[in-house]
Amino acid sequence: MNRKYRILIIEDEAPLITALKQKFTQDGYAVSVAGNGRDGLDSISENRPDLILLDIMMPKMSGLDMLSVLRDDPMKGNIPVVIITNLNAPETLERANQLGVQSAAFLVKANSSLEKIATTVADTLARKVGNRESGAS
Amino acid sequence: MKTARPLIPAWLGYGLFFVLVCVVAGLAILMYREPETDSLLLSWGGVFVAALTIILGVLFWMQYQRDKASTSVEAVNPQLTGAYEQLASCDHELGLVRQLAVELASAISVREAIELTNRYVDQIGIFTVKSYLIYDPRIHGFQQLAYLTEPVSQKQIHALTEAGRALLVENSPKEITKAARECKLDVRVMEGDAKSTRTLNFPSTIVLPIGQSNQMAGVIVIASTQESAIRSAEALDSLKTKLSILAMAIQRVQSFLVDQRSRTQAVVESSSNGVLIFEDDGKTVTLTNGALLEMTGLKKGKVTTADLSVLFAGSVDLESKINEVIKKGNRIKLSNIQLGDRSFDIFLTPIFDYHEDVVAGAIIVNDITHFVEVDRMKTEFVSIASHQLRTPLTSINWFVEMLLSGDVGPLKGLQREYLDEVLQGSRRMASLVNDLLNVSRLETGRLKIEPTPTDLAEMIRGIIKEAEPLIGSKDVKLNFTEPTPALPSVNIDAGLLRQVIHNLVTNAIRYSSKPKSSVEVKLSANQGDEAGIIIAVTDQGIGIPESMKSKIFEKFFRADNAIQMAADGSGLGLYIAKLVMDASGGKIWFDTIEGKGTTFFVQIPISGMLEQGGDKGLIKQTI
Repeated sequence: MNRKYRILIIEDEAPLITALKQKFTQDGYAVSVAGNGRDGLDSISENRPDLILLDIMMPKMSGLDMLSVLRDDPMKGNIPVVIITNLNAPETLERANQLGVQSAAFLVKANSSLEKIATTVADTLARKVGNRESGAS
Repeated sequence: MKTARPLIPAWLGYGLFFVLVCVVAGLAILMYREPETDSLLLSWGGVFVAALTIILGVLFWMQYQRDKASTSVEAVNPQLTGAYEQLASCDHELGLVRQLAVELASAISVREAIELTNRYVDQIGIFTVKSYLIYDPRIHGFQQLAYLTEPVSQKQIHALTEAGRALLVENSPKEITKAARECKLDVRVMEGDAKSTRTLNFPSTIVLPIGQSNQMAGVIVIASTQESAIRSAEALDSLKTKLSILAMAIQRVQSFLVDQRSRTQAVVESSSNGVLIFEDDGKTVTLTNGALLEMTGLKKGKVTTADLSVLFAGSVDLESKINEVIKKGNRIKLSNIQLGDRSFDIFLTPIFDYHEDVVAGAIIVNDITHFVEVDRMKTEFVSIASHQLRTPLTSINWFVEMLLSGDVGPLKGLQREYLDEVLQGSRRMASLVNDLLNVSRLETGRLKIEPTPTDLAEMIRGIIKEAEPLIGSKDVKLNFTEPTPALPSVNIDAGLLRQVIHNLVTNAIRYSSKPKSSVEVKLSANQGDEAGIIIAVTDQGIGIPESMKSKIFEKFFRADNAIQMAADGSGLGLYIAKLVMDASGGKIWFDTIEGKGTTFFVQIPISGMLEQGGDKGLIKQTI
């Protein structure tokens, strides 16, 4: 890969942002950060990320509400999303599935190591690239 | 009775008597004409003949009297025979009445009594319609029952029954008159077809009260399509007698029912659950309690099951459920039925008589609004609390992970070791939060079980590989015995079963302490009566103390020796395992000897785990 993948972390907990930013920067991604869903939408327009790492429970606009707005956007609607949350009620997972997030890309933070998140992000990006290539051929 | 026949007919007697008198007279003349020849002999002969004549005369006179008497007896004889036959018929009638009385004495329901009586009604003629209005003091209304021998339209049945009602309004005790006036006719056809549309002609229709004056139980209307349906006036009289006996039987049954009802009412009234008891017509309500009226807002008095069906129509088809209870004798539970802003659990249950026939049914309404609200709050609390607990745990996990990875600088030996401990403790805490959330889910909702064909051996190998790091410095060997030939795929919910077996294997390792011990995992299939797939996990660990065996699957329970050995552990693993196995049609049990070791067995049906719809799965540890 010639250019760095751009990854947008939308998360409101400062310590977690620090850890994630550190991890993904180190792994060679271009990382940008937003503190809630609404700021996230602005940041998407600005930075055009390749992947969004999205928390759910956030002030102003929740991750799922933001995702449903994003999915309606014809230009940016298909950006892959990995959800990282500590809220894993079955209905939350179900709604995420409806918004195009596969169960494998729905991670409970307390149950997932940073390494697990990094692997999931890499897999999701690889699938996206794969889709694009198979679509082009 | 036969009279004795005379020895000789009377006329012959008179004839002979006359001839004899002539002979005697002749002899007397003869003796008088020849007195000189042996007069003594002749005079003795005359005396003998005279005596004989007198004796014969007396005999014939007696015979004559006897014949005369016999003639008058013959004249009386037919009258006697008539009287005798009448007596015999009365005796027969009395026998029937006695038989009916005996049969009715054992009748335990009004309907049974009516059906017994029906047989006797049929003996006096052929009636197309037999329609009964029986006063029921429990509902201050009437049981309306009709029996048909050929198809009759509902309209005609009602028209005939109306005549019965008219009689009750005119001529019955005050209470019945009032009920008859207010009663809405809705005759239930017990036998025969009431769907006919043709109009029949009923030239003979008879309306008879059942019982007299203060013993009156109701009225019967019998109608025939024939001109003179009843055999005789006597037959009608005998029917009236039988109806009086029926009246007594009905009143006996009803006084028993009223007594039972008042006992039941007393008990039911104190219940905070709404209770309604209905008859086997699925409509008539014989008992309600205050709680039901309060919950539903229905008015005391004329409540019908239809009122309740209409009320709940938005959420459930109560009418069809009531029919199911009556027709099939099923017990039904309807959970979380909404009515306005309240929630109810509704139970429907049949009531059986001693023949095991459904004679009535009950609806019990339980207002669970409060529980639903508390449950919602609990779920919300658990969800928020777990989220709040998980966030700081995540920080600890991730930063320690980063430190350990050396990304922010190298660590010295002890530093690394201590941070390892921190990470392990923190992950255990995360796992405990998961267990708490799982228990909360399992207890508040139905567990979702989605079986798919799975290679069990492969799944177990995966679990063992995952568990191996737990052995650490312990001298424990982890072995897996696979069946030969290999098992075909089994329908299981891999996520759930994995959690169960993983828990058993980690427990086995955790509670093994002796050197050179082993943990054996064995997969096998049982045939025959106890058919099933069995996964056995055997350890040579501390075992389970005798006194704690019964509690081992209880929530938060940990055996004393287990607590001493390993401080961590939530006491939820086996509890969850049991919930999962029970819900999926499987079993879990154990054999143990304290100090020697334990084997846990998990059995799955040969056909696989039972599928179960639900909205809650278990949280899986990913890490």
